[in-house]
Amino acid sequence: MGRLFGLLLAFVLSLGGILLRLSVLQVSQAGEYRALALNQRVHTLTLPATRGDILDRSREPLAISLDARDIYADPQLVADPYGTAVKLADLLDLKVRDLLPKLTAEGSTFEYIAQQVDLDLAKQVEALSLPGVGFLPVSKRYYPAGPLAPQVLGFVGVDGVGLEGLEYGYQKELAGRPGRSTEETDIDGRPIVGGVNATVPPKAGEDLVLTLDRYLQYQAQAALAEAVRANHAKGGTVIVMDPRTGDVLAMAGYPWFDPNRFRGSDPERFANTAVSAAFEPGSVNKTITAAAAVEEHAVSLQQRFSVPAQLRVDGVVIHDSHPHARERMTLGDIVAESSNIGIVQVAAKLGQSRFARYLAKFGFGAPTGVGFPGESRGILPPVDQWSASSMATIPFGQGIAVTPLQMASVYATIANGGIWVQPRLIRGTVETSDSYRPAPRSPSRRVVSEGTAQIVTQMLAYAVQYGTGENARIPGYQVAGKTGTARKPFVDRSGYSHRYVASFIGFLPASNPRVVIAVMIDEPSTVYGGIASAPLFQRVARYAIERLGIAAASRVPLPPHALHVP
Amino acid sequence: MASRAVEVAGPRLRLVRPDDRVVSPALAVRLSRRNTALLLVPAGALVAVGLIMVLSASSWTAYTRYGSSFLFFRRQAVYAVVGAGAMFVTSRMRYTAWRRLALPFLVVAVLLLIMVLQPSAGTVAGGSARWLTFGPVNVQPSEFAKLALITFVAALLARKRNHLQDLVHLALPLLPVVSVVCGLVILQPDLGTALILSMSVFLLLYVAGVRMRYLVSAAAFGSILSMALILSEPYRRARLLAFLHPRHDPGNTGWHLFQSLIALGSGGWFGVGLGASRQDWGYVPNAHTDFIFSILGEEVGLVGEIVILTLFGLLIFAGIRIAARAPDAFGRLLAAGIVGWLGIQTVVNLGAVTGLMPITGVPLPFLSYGGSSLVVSMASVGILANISRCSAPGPRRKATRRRAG
Repeated sequence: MGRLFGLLLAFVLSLGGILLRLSVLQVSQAGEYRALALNQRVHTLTLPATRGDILDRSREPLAISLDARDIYADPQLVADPYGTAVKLADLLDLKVRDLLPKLTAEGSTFEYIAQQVDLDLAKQVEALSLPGVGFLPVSKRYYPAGPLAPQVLGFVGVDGVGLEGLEYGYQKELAGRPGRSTEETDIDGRPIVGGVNATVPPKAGEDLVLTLDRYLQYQAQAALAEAVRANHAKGGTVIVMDPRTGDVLAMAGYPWFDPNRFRGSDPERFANTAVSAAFEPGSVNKTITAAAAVEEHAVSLQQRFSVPAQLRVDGVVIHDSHPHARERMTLGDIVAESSNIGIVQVAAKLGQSRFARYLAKFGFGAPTGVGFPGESRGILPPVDQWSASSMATIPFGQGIAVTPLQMASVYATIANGGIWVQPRLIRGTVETSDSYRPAPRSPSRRVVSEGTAQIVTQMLAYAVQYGTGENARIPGYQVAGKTGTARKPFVDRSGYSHRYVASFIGFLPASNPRVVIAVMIDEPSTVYGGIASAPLFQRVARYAIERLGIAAASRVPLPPHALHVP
Repeated sequence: MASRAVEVAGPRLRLVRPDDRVVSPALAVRLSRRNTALLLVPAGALVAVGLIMVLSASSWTAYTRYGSSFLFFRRQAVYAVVGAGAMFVTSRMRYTAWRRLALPFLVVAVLLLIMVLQPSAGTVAGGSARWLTFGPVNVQPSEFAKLALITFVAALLARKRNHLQDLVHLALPLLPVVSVVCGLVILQPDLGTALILSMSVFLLLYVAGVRMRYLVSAAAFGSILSMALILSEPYRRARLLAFLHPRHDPGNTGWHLFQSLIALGSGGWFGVGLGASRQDWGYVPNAHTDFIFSILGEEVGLVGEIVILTLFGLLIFAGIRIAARAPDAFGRLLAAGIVGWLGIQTVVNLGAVTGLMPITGVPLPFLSYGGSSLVVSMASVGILANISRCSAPGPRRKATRRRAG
C-alpha cells in the first residue's frame, strides 16, 4: 500500500514540476516568446508605388513604367540544375556556365536569374514551370521613343531609383511613396484571419509634363546627327526655346544613347551637354557686349570705329578672323562682321566694371535654374580677378565659359524684349489621373530695355542678312542671330588648341520672336561657325516654323551701318 | 466506531487506512461512488476539452491539407462516441473477466503488431508504420497493446503474488513477453510507445511489491538499453540533441520544441483565447496530436493549464484510490497499471511539450487526436470504474442490481 502512495507522490511531483516549468515559460519568459512569435509570423511587405510617367508638352509618353518580372531561383528546390540552366539560358539569352553556379548555390534559397524581364518573356519562362524558379512582380522603365532626349530624361536603375537626368533630379516626385503591408501569416505565407494586418497604401508618383515637344525634339536630333556627321565633328548640341516662356522645346546632344539599354552605353554620352558642359562662347558673346554698350549709351549707333587689322591691348595682340585693311565700322557692322578688334574697342568705351555687370545680368556665372540636376554655372572669373588682358578677350567670348543653355538664354532675353526668363523643362505635373498642375511661371527679370533689345535684334538680323550668318537665312522669314567660333583651350595646360566649337544662336521672326535656337558643333572639320553650324540652325528653324506654325512677320530695319551693303 | 472516527478525523485524501476492511458497507458504497465520480468527471471533462482543442488545433491542417476544417474534429467526435460505448461496456463488464481475457487479448495485440509491420497493411505516417487500415478506420495496434500488456502483466503478477521475490518465476514469463511486445513496437519504429510500455510494466512490478534491488537493476538495464536505442538512430539522436540545446538549430531538429515553447510562452497567464491560437497555423507541427497541449497553453494560458493539470491529477488520484480499495490483488494491479500508464503517458507528453524531456512522440491521453488512443483510454477508464464499483460490498450490491435488472 505504501507503494501506491509512492506512485501518487511521483505523479504529483511530476505534474508539479511541469507546472513550475509552465509558469516560468508563460510568466517570466512570456514577453520573450511573444516577441519570437510575432517575429516569425508577422511579415512586412513593401508595396511599390507606381513611378510617374514623363510626358512631353502634349502629354505624349517619353518614359513609362511597365509591369515586368524578376526571375529568381531557390537552389534548394531546383530539381534538375543543368536542365533548368539550359532552358533558362536559351530563353533569357544567358550563359549556362553563369547560371549553373546560381542554381546549385549551397545554403542559398534566393538567387536572381534575371531582373526586369519583359512580361511576355517571363510568361514563356513561367510556362516551363521549372521547379525552384520563381517570379517577382516589379516594374520596368521603358522609353517608348528610344533615344529621344535621353540625356534630358536620364534613366532608372534596377532598384527603381533614377540614376541620371530628370529621372534622377525628380526622383522624389516620380517615385511616389511606397506603401507597406504588415501581415501575420501562416507557415505557408497565407494571411491569418484576425491576425495582425495593417496596410499603408502606396502613393503613386507624379507624372512629369515636360516642355519638350517630341516631334521638334526628334527633328532637332535628326538634324544634329546629320550635321555632326557632315562636318566630321565630335559632337553637338541643339537647344530650341520659347523666349517668352522659357520653355525648352528641344534639347539634344550628340552622340546619344538608348535609355532602354543604358547599361551597354558609353557613360560619356549620358551628360546633357546643353546644361552640364561649359564652352568658351566665342563670338556669340559679342551680343552681350553690344547690348551693354547700347543700354549704357557707351557708344552711339552712328559712331564709326576705326578698326585696324590687328590691335595690341595690354601686351596682347588680337586679330579678326579674316585679315582686312583698316576699316570704319559702326557697332552694327562690328556685330554683323563679328570683328574682335571692333568689339574690344566698344568694350573699352564701356569699361570693365560695367561690362562685367552685364555679363552677370545676362546670367553668366550662375546656373539658369532650369531644374536639371548637375547644371553647370560656367566659368566667370570675378571682376577683381580679371587679368590685364581680360578686357581684350572676354568681349568676344574668350576667357570665360558658359553652358549652351546660358548662351541661349542671352539670345532669348534679346528676343523677349530685354527680359530674361528662366528656362524650364517642367511644364507641370499630373498628380492623380487628370489633375494637371501647371508649373508656376518662370521667374523673369529685366536685363536691358526694350529699345536696346530692338536695336540688338536689328544688329543680329543684319548679321544674318549680310554678315557672317548668311547660311542661316530662311526665305520669307527674317532671322536674327550670331555665329560663334571658339578655339578650345587645352584641357591639360594653358593656351588654345586648334580645335574649335562652332556655334550659331538666333531667333525668328526678328520682329516677333517665337523661337530661339542655339546650335553648337564640337570640333567640326570646317572651322567657322557660319559654315558648320548655321545650316544646322536653318534646318532646325525650318522644322520649328512648321511644327509651331510660325507666321512670317514684318521685317525690322537694319541698324545704321558704314559698310557697303548690297 | 473506529471507522466513524477515521472518517471524521482523517484527511479525505488518505489512500489507505489500516482499518479499511472494517468500514461499514454503507460507507464502502459511498467511498466507491465518490471514487467513481472522481474518476469519471475529470475523464469526461478531459474528453470534452480534447474535442474542443482538436477542433481548434486541427482546423488549419484539416483545411489546408484536406479542404475541410472539421475533418479531424468530426472523426474525433465519432471516436469519442465509440469510446463512450467502450467505456460503458467495460464499466459493466466484471473486471475479473480480464484475467481470463488477458492472454487472448495479448495474442491478438501481438498479431496486430506483426501485421502493421507488413508494408502492404500498414499506413505509413511520419516515417513509421503505425496504423492498420480497415476500410475507413485506421487502427493503431500499439494503443491496444498497452492495455493488453498491462492486463497480462497484472494477471501474471496477481497469480504469482507469492513468488514475487523469485527472479526465475518472475522473469521467465515476463521478460520474453515484454521484449516481444516492445520489440515489435520499436520496429515500427515507435520508441516512445515502447518506453511507455516498459515503464508501465516497471511500475506494475513496483506496485506489486517486487524487491527494490531488482527494480533498480531493471531500471538501470532499461536506461542503458533505451540510451543505446536512441544513439543508434540518427533522428533520435538529433531529437535528444535538440532537447539539450533547443535554440541551437530552431529551423531543423529543434523546430518542434521551439515552436511548442513559442506557443506556450505567448499564451501567458490567460492565453490568447479559445480558438485564437496562431501557432496552430502550421507553426507547431502535429498541433492536434502530440503537441495539442502547446496549443491549449497558447489559447487558455497558464490558468487554463492549471485546470487541465488538476483534472489529470484528480484522475490519477482517483485511479490510485481505486487501486488501493480494489477487492483483490488483480484488481489492485490492473487499476494501478492503467492509472500508471495514463499518468506516465501524460507526464512524458507534457515533459516533451515543455522541453523538460526529449520528444518521443506520444499522445496526450484524452486530449490528443487519435481514435485508437481515445477509445482504449476511455475503455480503460471504464475498467477502473468497474473496479471501483466492485470495491463496494459485492454480493449485496450485485444482488440488488440483479433484482433491479
